[in-house]
Amino acid sequence: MQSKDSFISCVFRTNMLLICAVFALAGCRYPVNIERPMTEMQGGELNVGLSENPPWVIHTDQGPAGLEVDIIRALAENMDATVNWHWDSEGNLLAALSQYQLDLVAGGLTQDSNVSALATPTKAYYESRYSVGVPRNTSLPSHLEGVEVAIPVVNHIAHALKKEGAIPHPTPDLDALNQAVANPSWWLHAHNYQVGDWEIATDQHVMALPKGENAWMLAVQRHLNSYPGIEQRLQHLEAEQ
Amino acid sequence: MKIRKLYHLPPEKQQDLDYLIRLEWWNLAFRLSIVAILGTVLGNSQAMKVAWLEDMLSLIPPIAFLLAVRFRNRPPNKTYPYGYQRATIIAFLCTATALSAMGLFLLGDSLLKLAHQEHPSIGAITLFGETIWMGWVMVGVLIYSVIPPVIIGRLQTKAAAKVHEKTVFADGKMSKADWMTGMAAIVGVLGVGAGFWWADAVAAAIIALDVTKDGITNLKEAIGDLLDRRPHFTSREKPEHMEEALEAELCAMPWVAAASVRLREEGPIFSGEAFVTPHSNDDLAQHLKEASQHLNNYDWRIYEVVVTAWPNEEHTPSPVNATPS
Repeated sequence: MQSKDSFISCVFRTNMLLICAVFALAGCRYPVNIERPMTEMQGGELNVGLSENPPWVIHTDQGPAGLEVDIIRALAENMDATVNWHWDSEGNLLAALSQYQLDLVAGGLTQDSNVSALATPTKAYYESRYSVGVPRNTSLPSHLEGVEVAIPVVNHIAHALKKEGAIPHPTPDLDALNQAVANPSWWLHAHNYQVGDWEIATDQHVMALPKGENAWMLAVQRHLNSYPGIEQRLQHLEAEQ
Repeated sequence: MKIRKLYHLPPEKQQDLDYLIRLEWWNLAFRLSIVAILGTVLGNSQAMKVAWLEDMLSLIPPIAFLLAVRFRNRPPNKTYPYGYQRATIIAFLCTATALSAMGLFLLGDSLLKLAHQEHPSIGAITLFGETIWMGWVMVGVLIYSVIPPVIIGRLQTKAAAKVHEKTVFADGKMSKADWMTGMAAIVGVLGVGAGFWWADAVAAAIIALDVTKDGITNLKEAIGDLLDRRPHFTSREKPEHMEEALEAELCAMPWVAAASVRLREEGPIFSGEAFVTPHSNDDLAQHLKEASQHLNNYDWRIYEVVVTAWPNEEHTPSPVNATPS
């Protein structure tokens, strides 16, 4: 028993030493990245992958625009870094990210298993709430049971709408319709619809970072959390289009 | 049909057992709180995941014990004439199997992560409006997860030894060693923060190894008990030499020429047979009954020792002819 006790205290001391050593190694910059040091990013270059998805990421003749592009520009400015933009499909970009060729991927990504298989998503910095809106001159229905609701032709909310009892009606052009429309609340506001209280679905918006770049993640997350007025900016971008 | 009487602990031992039951309720409550809190800060760390699963598995022994204690108080009946004492062992075997299987699975999972050179992400968390590194929260929670088991583990081993509850004793021993797995997870998380991607998976593998070791140790105990191994006292590796003591008791009786005893464990208590060669057959039935009663009262752990008479020439039974025909 004596020897066992002294063994345990020996293990304990080694553990404590290890923890202290880890702290000493890390100094005050904690955590650090596994692949690319933060010192290289600050005042250096950031490689950002973009996949077009308005109004989050918009391809214009003057270069990239959109909410996420603005957010990344502000971050780069804070870090004194220049940004190299790389346009590609979401799949290609995530694959490149998983091989540490990129520092960040944006494209209106939402929290799902495709993203987290190859990358680490940030915590959701914005939540798009899908609701049903009606033109300003009509009154909101009290319930959705049997109500015909226009939705984009390509969408992921048809099932959720049916569950509420509504009849989804895929429509090519949702602008200036004289009927109920289901879309994110910022879109409905931007197109001057009256927005109901229903929450048909939500999209958790994230950006993708390489796995294990924990200091970079902390920096991005802090920036995202402090970025103001996202909803207004989205409405503004949508109205401009 | 001869049905056994229900086993009753001596009053002072019953008090010890009641204390142990209360302790196990506390144990269960603390364990649940640890599982709940750890679950909220898991993140992407393999070491955290393994530590969390280990804590989840550690819920089984107290639950199994608390269930078994209730169950084994049922009196023996026509269907189960030997009673329900072994309910504890069934629970113990289940726990041990779960521990071994889960330990091996987690070990494989962690080694796979190491082989794939997976870089664990430990992100950020926003608490009270401040965005901080999740690793700090994990370390805090891990420190909490280490303290109650160490304290309860110490109390458990002491209390379990008093009432010879092997399952709780084994659980207490595991709890006492739990701080090492907690420390391993802390080193893993801090290692990742310092930029060592392998720290997490290595820590996870170490914890998984510990879970497997605990599982196999318990499996050996449970199987030994089910195979009617000779009684071992809870806290000791070597067998209890109670058979010799009982033989001496029998030989001290004036009518006994020779005696041999074998015992087995039935959960926390012992049962067995005594083979006695009398000097003469006078009053034999009465002598046998008195001898049996004497042995049953010799130690609180003895449930039932059946005493039978054997002719002189056949006294030392070999393993072959020892089976009663």
